[in-house]
Amino acid sequence: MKVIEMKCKQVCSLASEYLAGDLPEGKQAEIRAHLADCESCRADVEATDRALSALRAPRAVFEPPDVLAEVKRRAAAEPVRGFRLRPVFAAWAVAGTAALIAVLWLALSWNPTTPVVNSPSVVTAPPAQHIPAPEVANPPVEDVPAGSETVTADEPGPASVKTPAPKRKPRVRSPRPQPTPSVPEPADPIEYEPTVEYIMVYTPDMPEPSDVRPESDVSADMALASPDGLIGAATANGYEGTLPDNSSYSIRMVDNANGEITTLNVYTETVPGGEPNGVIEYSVMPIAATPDTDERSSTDGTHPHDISAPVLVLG
Amino acid sequence: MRLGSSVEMNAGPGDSDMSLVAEFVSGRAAAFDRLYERHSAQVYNTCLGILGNPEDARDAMQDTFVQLYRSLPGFKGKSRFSTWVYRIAVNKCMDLIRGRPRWESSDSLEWVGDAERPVGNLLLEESVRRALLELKPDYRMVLVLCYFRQLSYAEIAECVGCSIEQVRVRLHRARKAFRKVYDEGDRNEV
Repeated sequence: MKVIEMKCKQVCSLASEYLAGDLPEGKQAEIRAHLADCESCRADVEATDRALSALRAPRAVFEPPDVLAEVKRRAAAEPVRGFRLRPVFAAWAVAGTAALIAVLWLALSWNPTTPVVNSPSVVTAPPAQHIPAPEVANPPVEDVPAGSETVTADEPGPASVKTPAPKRKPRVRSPRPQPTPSVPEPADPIEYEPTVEYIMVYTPDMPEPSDVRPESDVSADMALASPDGLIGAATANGYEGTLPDNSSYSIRMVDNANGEITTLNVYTETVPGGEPNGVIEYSVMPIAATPDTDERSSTDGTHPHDISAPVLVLG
Repeated sequence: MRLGSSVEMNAGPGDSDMSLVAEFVSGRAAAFDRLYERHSAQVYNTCLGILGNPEDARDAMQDTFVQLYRSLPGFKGKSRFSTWVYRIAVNKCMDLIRGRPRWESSDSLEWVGDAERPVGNLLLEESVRRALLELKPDYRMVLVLCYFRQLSYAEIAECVGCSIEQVRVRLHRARKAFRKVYDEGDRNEV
């Protein structure tokens, strides 16, 4: 097995996973080889081991107070609280419901004889298109008790809105998802509201581009670059999530200023330096469907676990 | 890569928690007492690990069992009962933390010496709990669930309400943060 030389910062950043045996065997071997020759990394890994061993040590057990009577009294006395959505998901629920109502209204009022005008900058909203409201419930675990709120800010947000392209007349193209329910005037461009599937933020201490190994590391250039203001154009709005380590993804982005579409293939791996370590968070926006391209929204079928793509290093 | 054991699906008829739930739902209130006796210690100690002081842990534990009492009829057994209970407990802990204008955990760890089942090294126990309290609640929570309760990644994901991958990422960051704080605490004591 070819052992690739690892850098100290990378070894130290993977210390806890190495100690837990969570890394692929190849990576474990690389780290072992590095530790054999690097005293400073050995000391660092040993310090990590001491800390994690303290966590793993047997814990003191404390006798719980007896609150059974109080529990029963409160359970009988308190009214059941309704399920409350976190504000960001509440916004999604409201937007999704409004969109659904608007689409249904369009479906009822749509006249098939109405001429459809197609132009490079106009996309007609499909009158009969089911747009499911974003999922606002918590993960696929049933029996979520009523009144419980979601736990943290890192929870998964609404799933991407996927709408099958309806069969229409050939000249009509439907972008998906379509957050704006109203049918625009033919001469007016559609203003896209970003539908963010994943939000990624740049890790400040990413390595210089020259340090990035294209076959395995996250592309620092992707996070650093954005020469066309792609990062600047992205907005954090709604769903928040991160891409896990050791995975390949294809992210398609649009620059709202000029409609330019970029496809980024990313392979994520813990990289040295910085906090948070290794996971690049980025934002993705839908792509405008135009007649002269065949691009479709980034939210169609792009799912982190479905994509297997080579790494693209920009710049 | 440790993915952890999968969550138990469809608890069988022999599962005692499920039997007690069924008894409670069918009207036998005493079944809830049994469930309380069985799970109160784990819930309390989990809350204590996350919140860092006995008073808040008591409140969170009480809130958890109140919620449990009212939600038992809806439990279908698709996940392990204890995992479901932990999920409620974690939610109640985070509710408590979020409900404070500025969350401050108690600096006093005198209660550590009052354990029903103490450990040999009280100083180590104190240093671990003190370091945990320095961390942000999200990190503390996953560390407690992973190391205090020995839950799998899948079970932690279920408790916390995120994906297994996100649990891995958060644990990675939490371990790093813990190690940094723990090291600093060690140096201060020396």
